[in-house]
Amino acid sequence: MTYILTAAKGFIILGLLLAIFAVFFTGPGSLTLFLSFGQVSIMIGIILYLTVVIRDMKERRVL
Amino acid sequence: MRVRTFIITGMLLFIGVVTVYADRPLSEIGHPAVGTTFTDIVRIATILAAFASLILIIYLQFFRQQQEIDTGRKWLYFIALFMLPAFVMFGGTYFSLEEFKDVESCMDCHQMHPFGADMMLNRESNTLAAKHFRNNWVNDHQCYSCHTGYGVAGTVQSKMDGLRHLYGRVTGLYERPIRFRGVFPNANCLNCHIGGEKYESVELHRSLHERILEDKISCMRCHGNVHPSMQHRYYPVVTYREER
Repeated sequence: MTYILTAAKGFIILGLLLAIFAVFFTGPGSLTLFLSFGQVSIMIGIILYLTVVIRDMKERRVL
Repeated sequence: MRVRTFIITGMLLFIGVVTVYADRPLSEIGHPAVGTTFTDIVRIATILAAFASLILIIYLQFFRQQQEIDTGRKWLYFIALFMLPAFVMFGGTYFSLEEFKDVESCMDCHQMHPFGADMMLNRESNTLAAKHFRNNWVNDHQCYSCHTGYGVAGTVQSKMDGLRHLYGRVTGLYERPIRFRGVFPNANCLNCHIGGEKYESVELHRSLHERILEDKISCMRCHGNVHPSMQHRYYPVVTYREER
């Protein structure tokens, strides 16, 4: 579980850095490229985080 | 209690910074004539949300490490790993979609340069695009305004076309010289011209009214020469961003 959470953090940090770079520094063409990679990375991170949350809730019988 | 205070303070700071930026002299942000647009605010909010999320993740990782996960820490994780990143994703998407309406965005592709050069640099040009640009008949987003159909369907179609162009640009898989694909709906011209004194005063417009509305006869049939012909296209040396 800890590993998944660490991986989620990693993906989200990478995605956020790419998104900041895209939105703050680049022009239209590069913006799409960096932003797309950033968004994919954030998406993977969010999915991993939600996996942890759902597992946790199942363990505590909330779900 | 501490977590709630932390969240409320963070939100207030976030709103404060966005408001301060929105009130800044407009020329500092990028639209001197128009003023601060919603897109500018979304852009700033996206960057701030990304930084806030990064800071929160670092805080949780290094300054709030403990074996027992309390409720407050869970909420902070939820904000740092879900809410703020999701906001960054949607804000970034919105910003990029708006950014693509700019002429500079179309001119980012080398293949488009002759059209931009004719429109923005050639003062002698008689093409429709150049006349519209030179006389400011279309104030902003000149390429987008004429090449996008109106309504939601038009926007969606233009985004699909944009993706196709981007794919072509990245892979280099497109035929040269580039040609306009599809048809140019009269509605794109009529949206501004119909009802205008100049338009209505032309007898032919009145007699062909129905056919024009139904796209049975194209505006380009009489008002052709929209962009320069193959022989008159050239690649400029200066960039459009510098020129403007």
